[in-house]
Amino acid sequence: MADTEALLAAWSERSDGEAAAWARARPGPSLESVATRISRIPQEFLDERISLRALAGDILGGQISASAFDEDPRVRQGAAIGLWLVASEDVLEPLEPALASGWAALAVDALALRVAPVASPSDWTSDDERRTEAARTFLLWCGFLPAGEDAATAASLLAACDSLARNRALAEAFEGHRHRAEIARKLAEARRKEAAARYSSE
Amino acid sequence: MKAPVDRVPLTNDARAAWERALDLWRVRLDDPAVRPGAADEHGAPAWFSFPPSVTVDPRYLAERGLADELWSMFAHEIGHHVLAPSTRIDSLKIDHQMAKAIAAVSLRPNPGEGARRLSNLWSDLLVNTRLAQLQRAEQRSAGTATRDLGIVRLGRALYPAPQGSTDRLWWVYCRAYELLWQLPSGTLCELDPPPRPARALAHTNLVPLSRIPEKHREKERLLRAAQAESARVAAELAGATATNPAVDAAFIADAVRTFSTDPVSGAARFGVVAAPYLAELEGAAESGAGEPVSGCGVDDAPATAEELGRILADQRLRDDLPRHPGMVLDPEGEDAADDASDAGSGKDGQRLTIARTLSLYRESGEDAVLSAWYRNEAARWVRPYTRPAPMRPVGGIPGPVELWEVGDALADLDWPLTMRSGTVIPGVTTRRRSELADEPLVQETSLELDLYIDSSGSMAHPRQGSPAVLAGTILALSILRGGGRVRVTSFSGTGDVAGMPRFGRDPSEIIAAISLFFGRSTSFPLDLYSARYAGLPAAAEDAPRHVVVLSDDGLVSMFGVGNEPYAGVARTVREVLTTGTLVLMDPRRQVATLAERDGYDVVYLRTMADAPAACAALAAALHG
Repeated sequence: MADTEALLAAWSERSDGEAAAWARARPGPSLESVATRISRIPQEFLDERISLRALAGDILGGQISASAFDEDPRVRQGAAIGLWLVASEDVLEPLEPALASGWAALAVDALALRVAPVASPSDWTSDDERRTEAARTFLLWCGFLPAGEDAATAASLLAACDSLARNRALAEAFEGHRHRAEIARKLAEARRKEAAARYSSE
Repeated sequence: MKAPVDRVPLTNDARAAWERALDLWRVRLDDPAVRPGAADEHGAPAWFSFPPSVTVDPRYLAERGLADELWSMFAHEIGHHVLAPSTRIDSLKIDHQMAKAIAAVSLRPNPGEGARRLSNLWSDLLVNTRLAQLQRAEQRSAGTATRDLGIVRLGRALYPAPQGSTDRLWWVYCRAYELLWQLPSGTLCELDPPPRPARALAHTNLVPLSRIPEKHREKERLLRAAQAESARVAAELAGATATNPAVDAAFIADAVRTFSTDPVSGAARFGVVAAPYLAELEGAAESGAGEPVSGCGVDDAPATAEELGRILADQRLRDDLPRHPGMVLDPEGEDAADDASDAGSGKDGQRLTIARTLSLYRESGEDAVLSAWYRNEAARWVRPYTRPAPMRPVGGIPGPVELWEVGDALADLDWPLTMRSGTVIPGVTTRRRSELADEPLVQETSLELDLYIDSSGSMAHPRQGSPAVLAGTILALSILRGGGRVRVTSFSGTGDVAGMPRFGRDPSEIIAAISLFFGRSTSFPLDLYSARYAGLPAAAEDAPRHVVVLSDDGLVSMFGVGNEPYAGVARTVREVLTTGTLVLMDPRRQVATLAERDGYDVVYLRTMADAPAACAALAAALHG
């Protein structure tokens, strides 16, 4: 399994920065339509015997950066879900406007290298918030804003469900609590000593 | 006091709004009370109360340009009746959970007010989140952007804190709505939370060391050093905050999603996250501690004794508080943090002790709270105490065929057997089937227990957790469960005797008698004891007499010590009893020889934790 940091580093090399992505984003399909498709991923896409390179070649007609890390199950599944979103336009029906008109390969890489390392793709189909995160990220890097949202709103809502920031905040909170528990223990010790030092003035 | 604002009839618009709100939740309720201008005296534009009713001040909304959202306001209040807290009992249970959470982090003796504030916030969160979902799904709102949904509009108009507000909990609360409603940050609250309140430094005036007597000076110096150290660590602890608004808002949003249909369980999670904010205010120099309670629950009637029993009996309220979600780094992984946290916080702080329960339900009356508390503590140890019933032979096994004679009952005649011989000659060919006795049935029957409980000053006061009261409660309830009857007599000094004149089965009367406390000297009521039992014949096997006395080493008075005219009573009475057992808190075993001399068994009791074991021993003795 590849190192999370290495995957994120590969992503920052691949992408041209979030500011640029927000700048080029234009109104796109609704968030619900993309999120619903994520839940409907066929099992074949998640089968680990399928070669990621072959899948990407078939669907995008080109390669994605995530293929370099296809031994990592997180990257594999993340990329597979992204590829399914692209393929679903042929299998089911095109979204309005079509994802194919955006930067589909970049969006697949975003799911595989940016989201999958910090939020397991198996959660994308079971946890509503993670699914929203995946759908928002996909839309952003594909070059779209969720229907009915402006760039500022969409950016704020993506930031609110970003697993990377969330994990960092959680780690920080955990450190805070651990530190506090440590002091609480010291306090109990100090109180014991204080009680031992009490004396009778009789 | 100002007269309450008059109720006005529903206008057509208001009725349409009310019907729309009812349809949204798919319930029916009585018409709401509309009281224009009532918000001023009440502090909130709308409120609900039990039995289900809703009151709204439409003028408050109209003044803010929200007249068309009257239906959302109605729907919010209806949501309180449907979802959270839904019933008065659940509302009290949520308060209870919050009080537990506050008690775990706060030093304030009475968590009541804070608990009420937290429960209001929690119920509002649940209701508004569900309401937004319902409104989104409503036909008439189809295609509305989230920020224009009725309840979100109301929230945007009413929730944002005034400029410069320092209320961190309110910030967390608003941020949680932004997460739940999917609003961009900065809609309901500032982007950054208000700073932590500055802590007021406690300073104590110490007597100068020179004024301390020479011989104590060294000890005093050491004590002061230890005190200073613990004060320093305490200040450090207070500085190491348990609050992290941005993260806590996400935790609260999680709790709302997870517990959307179980307000009582979820309240514990919410409480654990939110209570540190109240504790943080406590340390601050008496500042915004009196934040207005802007909730819409108005039911202030104290819990009745019966309600208390139901509240304390709820299993969800008996569980330990959940850990702060921030303490759980990896919810699925091993809890590596276990040892890091639990050793410090200790589980004791999480249980609602008698003292905390008493202060939380102060208005319900001490007796009601005490009996509910002991009853509830005893509940899990109560099982039916019975004794074997006298053997009763039962028939039913067919035996050999016998001759039916003329004097026998006609019904006993066995016609098929008789007819086998062809002719019926009474007393000659007539037959009947005899019946053999089966093994006697072993049956259990109920017990009668005469219970004496010492409530002298040397016993622990029920308020502080009395092992004797707990044991007495377990014992009495177990006898009742077995179908039996109990007579309780509480005694202290001479003349301080109270309780039940005869055996009874009313649990509230029995528990009231058990938890009665005189708090004076100890003198066993030998006169009463003698009057009740003297002159009776020895107990028959089918009517056993059992006496249990709960006391401590002062029980020597039962054997005539200090009460010589009655010296022989205990022994005389013992002769007509089936069992006589003393349950004693007597670590020095002072009563043992006297008890043995007069034929009483002794069971020793030290702490609350021993009570169930002592009762189990008694159950065996009573069963015989």
